[in-house]
Amino acid sequence: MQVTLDPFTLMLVMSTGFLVLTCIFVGIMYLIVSRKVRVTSAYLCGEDEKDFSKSLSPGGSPMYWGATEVLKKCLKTLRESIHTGFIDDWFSLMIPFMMVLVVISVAASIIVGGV
Amino acid sequence: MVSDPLLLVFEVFVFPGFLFVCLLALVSQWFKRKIIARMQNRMGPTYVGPVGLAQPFADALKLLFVKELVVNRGILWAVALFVVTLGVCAISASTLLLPIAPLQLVSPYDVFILIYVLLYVTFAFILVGLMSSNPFSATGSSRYMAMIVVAEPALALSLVASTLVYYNIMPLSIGVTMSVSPLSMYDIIVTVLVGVSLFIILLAKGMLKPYDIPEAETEIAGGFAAELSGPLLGMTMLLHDVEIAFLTLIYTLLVLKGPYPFTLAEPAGWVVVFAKYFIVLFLASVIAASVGRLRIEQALRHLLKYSFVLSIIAFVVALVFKYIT
Repeated sequence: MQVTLDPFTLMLVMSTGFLVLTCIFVGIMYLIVSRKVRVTSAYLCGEDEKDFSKSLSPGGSPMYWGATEVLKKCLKTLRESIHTGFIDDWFSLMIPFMMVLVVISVAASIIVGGV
Repeated sequence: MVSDPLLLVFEVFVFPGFLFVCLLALVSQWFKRKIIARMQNRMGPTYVGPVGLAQPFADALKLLFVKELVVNRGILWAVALFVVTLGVCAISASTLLLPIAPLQLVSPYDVFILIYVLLYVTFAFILVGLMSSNPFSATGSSRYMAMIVVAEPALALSLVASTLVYYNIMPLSIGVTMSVSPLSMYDIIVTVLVGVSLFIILLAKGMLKPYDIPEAETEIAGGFAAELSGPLLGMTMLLHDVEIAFLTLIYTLLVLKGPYPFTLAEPAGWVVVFAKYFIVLFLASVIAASVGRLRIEQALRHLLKYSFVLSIIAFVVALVFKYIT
């Protein structure tokens, strides 16, 4: 059987569902896990922890690297065609690009807005 | 509003929610291990239960009930456990959108709710690696982050493209799209494109070879899972299996049209759904056992060429069809 809800109610039902479920299972885990704890140093295949303490800096940079790696060819082509030192080269690429943007925005306003 | 709240609670906790998803994930893990073992001329799990079927359950219980917790000094253990459990529960709740639920919840634009809920799993894998002070874990998370730059938009575009085909019935509803049968002509074209794209995403997000780069055991000692042990490792493994099971289920219902040519009202429909599910899992396992691991930049190029581009084409084709019909 299918029940149709509005998107906000569905969002509310699902979010409540998984948050309640999470609280219950985290509570159960808290009750069942062992109280005996042994604290260890990092597993570094036998290397000393001190050797690695400065090299570790997790952050969002891999996402930027991933984007630039994926678009490597595109960025290289753009760089080589724009950064030539001549303003004409810059204009010859940017004017068609702006025209494409204008065409897309007009098309989008016709499709979405029904102009 | 929902007329039967008790049925909804049953769905979230039992079927097709938490209990069913966990059972399916563990049985799928056994199936995957058996197939990969057979491909590598090994026996796979045999010791616990008939043909080793209970081995994943035994592994999970063993990790949950360890006598002594071994915790790395630098890890935020409790927060990591909460984040991973949140991921498993998010997937459990999102099964309410599937047509296999006795009371399926649908709404216009529910595809965005599914995409949003699946992001909890992605963030869980990233955070569990970054919460540890181990460079191997950070490297695993970094690789995962680099991969999702391409895999997540491709997944979102593929799902939206599928829902665009049935925009006239209900706008961008993944629940309705998975319930519609038989296939329309437009649906077949979009579904083929989405099918290829989603299968690659299934391998990438499921971290199966050739995309098991974030948890490469021989290279970075298990990546984001390098410092995990006991219940935290058990829950992370469960999250991993639950994600594979859920994406395979989505693939079965969305791309292979679930019980088609039967319906879920007939027992044959359920047999067809599970047969299709295990065929998809079989193919994924055969690929995982047959190929080597890619390097991260190779994986990114693969995902861009064979998944992201196809999902964009599927999206454009679906958009064109929407305005033609």
